[in-house]
Amino acid sequence: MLNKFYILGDKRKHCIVSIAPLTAGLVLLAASLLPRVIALLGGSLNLNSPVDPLLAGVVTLVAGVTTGALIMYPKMRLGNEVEKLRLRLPYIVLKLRTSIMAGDPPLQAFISTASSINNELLNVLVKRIVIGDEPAQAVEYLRSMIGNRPEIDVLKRVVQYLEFGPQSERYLRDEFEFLMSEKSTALNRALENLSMIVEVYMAMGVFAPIVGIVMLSSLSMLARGMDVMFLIALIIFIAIPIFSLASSIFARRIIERALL
Amino acid sequence: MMDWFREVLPKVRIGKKKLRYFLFSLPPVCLAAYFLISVFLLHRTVNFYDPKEAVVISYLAAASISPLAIFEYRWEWELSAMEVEVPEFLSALEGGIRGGLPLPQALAESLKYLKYLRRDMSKVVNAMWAGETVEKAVGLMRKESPILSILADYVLVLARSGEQLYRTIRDFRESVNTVVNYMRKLRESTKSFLATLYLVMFVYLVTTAIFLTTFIYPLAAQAAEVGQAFLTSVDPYVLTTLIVYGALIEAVANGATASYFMGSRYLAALIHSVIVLFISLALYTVLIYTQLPQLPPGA
Repeated sequence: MLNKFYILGDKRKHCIVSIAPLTAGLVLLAASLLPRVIALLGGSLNLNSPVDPLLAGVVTLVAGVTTGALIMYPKMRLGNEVEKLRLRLPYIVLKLRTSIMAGDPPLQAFISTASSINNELLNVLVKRIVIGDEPAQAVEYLRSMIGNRPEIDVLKRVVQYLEFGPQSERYLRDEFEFLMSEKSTALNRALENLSMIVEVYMAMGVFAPIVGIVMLSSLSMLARGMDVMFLIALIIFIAIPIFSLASSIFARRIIERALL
Repeated sequence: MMDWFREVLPKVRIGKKKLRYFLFSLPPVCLAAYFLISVFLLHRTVNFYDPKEAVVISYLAAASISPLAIFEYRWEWELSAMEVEVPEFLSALEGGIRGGLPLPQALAESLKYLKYLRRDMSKVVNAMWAGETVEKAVGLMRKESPILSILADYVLVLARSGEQLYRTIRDFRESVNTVVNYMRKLRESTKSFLATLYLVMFVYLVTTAIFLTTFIYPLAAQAAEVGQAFLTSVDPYVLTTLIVYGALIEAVANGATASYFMGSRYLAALIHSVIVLFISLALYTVLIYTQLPQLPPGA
């Protein structure tokens, strides 16, 4: 994993910072439970619980979730960078080919293309090449850091083509065609997934609120029950925006894979 | 007439980013202004639970969202139109270069075949004629999509291609064609999601309208006549108000969601939801002024 993705740029410091919220929560929980545990064991400690155990439990839960999120943070950032790289691959290959066709030396064209894209993984690759690694070696270094991924295989193929010199443009054209056909497949898959999300969105974000409004108001009129206006207001002002937001986020994540 | 306007009105250019901030801030500003004017100038309280007030607020919200929706739609459409013109432009450029024209002249000749991309490319050509470096001239182009960005790169490449010029331009045009066709397929395939927006708003509108007119309003009127024995919890005024606000929230949420479903770079589908919102509000206005029973005070 890249050090840059860790908090404070170091794995050990990242672990300490990540565990801190959970530790604090557990200390708070232990302090709130200690007088009760001692009382249960038959002893007595002349000390009042600093906080309610239930509140301490909730705080510990929130702290645990925070710790989990912090621990997962580098992995999420890495995933994000890999996703960005995957999205930009056709663009990288097209630009690289254009530069080579214009007469740029292949390696220089690769470095300038990779540098022009704001991606941490490509930055690492460029740095390794600039300090003297062979391009294929630099890609393998990247693979050792982030694991075996299809994007790395494409990069490996691309840097291997660079060794063919001016001939590489033909291979890059084939690679571009291949990436675009993969994009087309991704688009079909994304459309299938989107159709499913649209159905869920229609059911949960639109039809369910309507049914909720109709049912709540009819039943309350007939049954003389609780005041349902508050519940209807919750459906309209909270549930609908939340479902829409969630659907938008899912849709964005899916369609991004098909975008260029 | 248009020429007269162009002469009389001062030329003001606002950046897209600033304009977008302004348009996004318009709905809250308009609603705040409505509230302040009502309270301090007209000396009346704004009753958010009154259906008539809710309709006025919703109309105001819809009207203040409209400029944003129009601009977002316009920007998306313009960008798509510019992308579609790229292969045509490259084809014309190729013809010019094959005809023996130097690059700036070939670029200038290609402008004849452009409509939406012309403004950007004219800037590049004019800058090149004025003696700017190609890098600086290309910097004037918009790079809001991958195709436009790669076109800008390609113009740079062309400037230093020398003898390779013929070979690069055809290959590049073919690749750009692949990308443009892909984007077209993406747009065509996701168009059906727009129908969802209309469908869900239609279902919301019809269901709530039928529910109010055939169930809530008659029962409320009946309850007002015979006393409070039957109708208790549901206030028809408050329910109508909530349903009107619901239409507003549904429309805005659906517009934003449908834009994402369509892979839009802007909130392009918002314009459709604003149209549906105005239709819904018109229907609710008719309902409120013709169907809503006049309940005695305290009923």
